[in-house]
Amino acid sequence: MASIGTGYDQSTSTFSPDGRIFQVEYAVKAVDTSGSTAIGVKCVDGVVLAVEKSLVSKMMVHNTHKRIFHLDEHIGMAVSGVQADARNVMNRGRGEATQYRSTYGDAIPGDVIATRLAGYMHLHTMYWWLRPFGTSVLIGSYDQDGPQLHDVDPSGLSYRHFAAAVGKAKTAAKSQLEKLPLSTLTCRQAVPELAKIMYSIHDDLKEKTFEIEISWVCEESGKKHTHIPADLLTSAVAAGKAAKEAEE
Amino acid sequence: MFAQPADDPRKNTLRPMVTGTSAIGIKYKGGVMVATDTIACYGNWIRYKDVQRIHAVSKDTLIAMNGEMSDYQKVLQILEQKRLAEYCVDDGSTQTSAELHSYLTRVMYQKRCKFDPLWNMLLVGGFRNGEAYLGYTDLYGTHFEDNFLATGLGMYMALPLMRNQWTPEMSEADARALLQMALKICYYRDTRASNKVQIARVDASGVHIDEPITLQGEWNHARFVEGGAKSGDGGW
Amino acid sequence: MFGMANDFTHREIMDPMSVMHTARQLGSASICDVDLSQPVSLGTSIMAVEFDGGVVCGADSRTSTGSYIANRVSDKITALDEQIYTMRSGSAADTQAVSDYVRYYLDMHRNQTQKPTAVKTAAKLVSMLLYENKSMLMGEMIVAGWDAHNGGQVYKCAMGGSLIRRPYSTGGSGSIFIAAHCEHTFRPGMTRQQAIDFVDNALRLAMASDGSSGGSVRKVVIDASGVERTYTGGVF
Repeated sequence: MASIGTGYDQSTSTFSPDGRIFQVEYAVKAVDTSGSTAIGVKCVDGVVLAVEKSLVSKMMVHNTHKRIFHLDEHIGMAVSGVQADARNVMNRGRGEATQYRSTYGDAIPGDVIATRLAGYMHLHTMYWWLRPFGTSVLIGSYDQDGPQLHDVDPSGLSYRHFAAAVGKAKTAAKSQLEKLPLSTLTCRQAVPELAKIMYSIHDDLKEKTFEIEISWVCEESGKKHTHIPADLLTSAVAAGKAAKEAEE
Repeated sequence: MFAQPADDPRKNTLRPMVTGTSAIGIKYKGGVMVATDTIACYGNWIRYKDVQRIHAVSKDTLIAMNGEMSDYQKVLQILEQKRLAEYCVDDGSTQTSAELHSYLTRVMYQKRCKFDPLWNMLLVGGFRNGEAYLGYTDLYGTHFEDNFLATGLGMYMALPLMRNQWTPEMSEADARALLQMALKICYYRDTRASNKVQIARVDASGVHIDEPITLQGEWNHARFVEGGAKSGDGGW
Repeated sequence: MFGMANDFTHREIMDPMSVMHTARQLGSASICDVDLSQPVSLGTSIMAVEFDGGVVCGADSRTSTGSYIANRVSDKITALDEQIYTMRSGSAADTQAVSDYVRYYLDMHRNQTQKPTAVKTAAKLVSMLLYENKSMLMGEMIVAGWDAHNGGQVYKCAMGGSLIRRPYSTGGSGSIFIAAHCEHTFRPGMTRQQAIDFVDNALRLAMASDGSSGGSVRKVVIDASGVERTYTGGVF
């Protein structure tokens, strides 16, 4: 952000002389500084999503700070960045899924909902009276054509991935995801791997307490998006902790 | 019960076209059971002969229909949308049969107040926490519960039977036998009814919708076979 | 008189032959006394059947306005998408408008999804339009086609807007004459040729008995490999 200011960073409706839209870049920055990372893997039998989140308060009721949401029965969304913005995107996603169902009589395909949410987020980079969303999301889906993983970022970009990471530690997470055998990995195998990645990218110096939330949409879950079973989460967390300790 | 399809449908927005006839339901010890036949009529023409008229709308609730098929499909769509919205909330709670029945009644009443009713009589059956639920709603938005219910012509033919024979201690087999008898009577006396019927139940293990079965009925009573040969006036 | 507010909804009556016919019935009365609210019924025989791997669509080619044949070689099998077709019965104008809309929606949908549309989706769009506008539309449509996920499928979008998937479906005024024949001769899991013969026989019978159906038999066979059209001229 070398050329901060100079009057061109106030609105998304004006390019800077060197062709940048600062507000969108700041929105991406907001995602990275927000403190959470979301990762996802497309496996042979489904998609696994995982989010690392810091515990805001010891007095908070467990499970009330969800960062993985259902958009429809077969679609999950893991979010990073500004939570309130993410919930707005989530609501839009649910609306799109409902509307598609009632019009076409079928479940919305993963690439369609990703494209529509990308369009929605892009819309918020086009007008001076709108602020871009400070959130990046991962969308895991399982439709007639099989499992798919997409990401959408504040600029409205969306890609389909074999594995993806968004948020604070996305770069570190991506380099670890690349090492996974993505063409043969199953969801069951991916769950502890994602937990290990979450533990290894977590910066213990900044915050001690954090939690992992993992969901999947796969053959085992009946092609429905659900949080993984409690025992699987417990063993995954144990694997993550063990790997972290072995590393140290 | 229902009007014939109008000569000029463009003049008349309030008419059923493709219809299903009676739906019947009873509570029994440990569950609730509903039944319909499996045909849909276009006027008097039995147009569709393999139609399902009972559907699960949640893990422990089902509805059975009577009346216009397209409106019933709309009802199913509305309830499916509701179920998915609830799935998305993801707080582990699901709506009870009583809540779904109440909601459905509001939908029906709202539509009728727009003079564009959903032309159905619906039974809502459910079972949760050891308690059976059986409710009724219709195109006016009527709302009530009972231990046994029937819609359409079944109100006239099945209900009296059930009033005589229903007891709170009925077993699943008793309930099935009573429903089959009621369906048989409807098949004997309702021109829009068929003997290919489907029975469904909700109990502690969830919703079960059985495959359709065919009821035989009694057609070989000695006096039936003999016919009018003795009295000679065509009746007997 | 033709400028009356309701002449749009009754535009078929503008056909000169039927106007003249009505005028003749009225004797010397002026043409201004023509009863514009008299609907014109359009007879048809249409059908579609699933076979192992695809569907066969069939239709007669007669469009009539009263007793006058307005078109003796009409094509009632309309493409909605590359491998999805619809057969129309009822008001020609209404069902053409519906299929035009659905074709437009499907074009948009395919543009967005970048892959072939499911037959079910096309059928859902047709039935949605028929349901939401049921007071204004008079028509029944069969939607048939092939998609990679569910193979050959036949859907009946019945009057009123209900949507029913069937192994075979018939429609139009001719269909009542062949209902029992079709029920008797239909076999599940027919081969391509058996399905073609089934449609051909049934349509010939319908055209033989229904004065509002006739002319030629058009058939469209849709399967994984594509679409094949046939035309048999002057059957009845």
